[in-house]
Amino acid sequence: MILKCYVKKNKSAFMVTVAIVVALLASLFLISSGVHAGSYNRDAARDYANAWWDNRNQSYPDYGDFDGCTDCTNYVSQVLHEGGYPLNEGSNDIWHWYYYKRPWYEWKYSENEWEGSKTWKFTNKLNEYASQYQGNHFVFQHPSTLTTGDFFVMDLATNPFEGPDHTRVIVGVENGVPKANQHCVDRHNVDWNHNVPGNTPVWGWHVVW
Amino acid sequence: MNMKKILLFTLPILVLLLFALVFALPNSSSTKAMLRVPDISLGRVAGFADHIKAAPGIAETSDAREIIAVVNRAYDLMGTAARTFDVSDFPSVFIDTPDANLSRSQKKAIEQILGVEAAEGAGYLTCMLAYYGAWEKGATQLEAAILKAKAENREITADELKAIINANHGRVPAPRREDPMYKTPLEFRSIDVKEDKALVVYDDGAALQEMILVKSGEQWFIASIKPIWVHF
Repeated sequence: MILKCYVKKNKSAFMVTVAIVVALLASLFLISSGVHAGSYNRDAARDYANAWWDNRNQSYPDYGDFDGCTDCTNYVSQVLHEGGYPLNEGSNDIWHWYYYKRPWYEWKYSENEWEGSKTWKFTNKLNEYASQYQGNHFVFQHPSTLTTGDFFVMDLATNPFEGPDHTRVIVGVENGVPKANQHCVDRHNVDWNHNVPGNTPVWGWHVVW
Repeated sequence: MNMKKILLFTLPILVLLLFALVFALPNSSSTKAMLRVPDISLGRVAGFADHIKAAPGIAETSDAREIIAVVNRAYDLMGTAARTFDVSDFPSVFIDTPDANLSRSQKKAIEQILGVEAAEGAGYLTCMLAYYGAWEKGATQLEAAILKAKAENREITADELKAIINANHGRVPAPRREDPMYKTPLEFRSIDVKEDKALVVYDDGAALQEMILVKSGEQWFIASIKPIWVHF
């Protein structure tokens, strides 16, 4: 009864309040359902990939640049992050993807102060991470149809069942052919299948964030 | 100047120098142990396709020429299988011998895919048959899921992909290669033949590889391939 009287007296204020509540609820729903309206910036991803293709950014983890170098997936993760794909912090499992600053006592003489989650630095784990978010953050696609800012994962068919070995990021498309960058060995703007034998299994991931 | 003062100044410097010698120098790029592949100038092998190169003199024996032909044919068959999953000719180039020295994960995968019996005594041939068989199973399920999703005007969902991953022992299914067949250059660095066994070092573009071949009857078969340096 009191509420009814109040609404009658302050009709416009009530309508505004209802609108705000509805808007808040809608926002909460959109956030929880993972809708993010194409915020991935492919140009920013490409620019970062091209700026760091033959160098190591010490603001991120660094897994080497000579023999024994295992930096390919770390590099692709950096590109995704610089393109605006957000960190997904939590347990170090295939549902989360992040890097973090290590406490000083964990530093080893050959590593820098940053460390990546398994999905950030291991090829097979990034592949598994992407598959967890199929249709929501990433879409499974053939590498020849990928576009700037996307990435793909490869496996050496001659070394079966040892897991995917390598990751590359797409930095452009020329004459219909996706061009790629990679770390280990550092390469810039090569055809997506450069040095990829014809027997190689390839998983392409189109970013839809 | 008294001794105490000298010690006070020099000791920390000595400790720092010692620290640098033990920790910093072994990690510097100049002293890093580098795997360097010998820079052999490779030439075209007469009688073979342009994508096959070898170090000078390497293909002069009949064994070496036969080995190069088998490796080339194996890459043809693997490339075709990546598109059609036809592995019927794999036994003409691969063989099961203990030389494969399969890892624990390879043995486990063969057990999961072909059964415990097949895993016993499995070599490189069985491993490759299991690998391409698993690839075919995953790819076929993926194709069916994509087709269904397309018919419903949507992408496949995470749950649909997860179901395929679960049905494939936790492996993310790789799609079949749909691009036209092509070959990366095969560069032969060394071929060492000792009686009925050969050790071959070659590069297929993706990796520097070490291959063991065995001669059975009058023919060479691939018994093992291990990557030495993956570089793509």
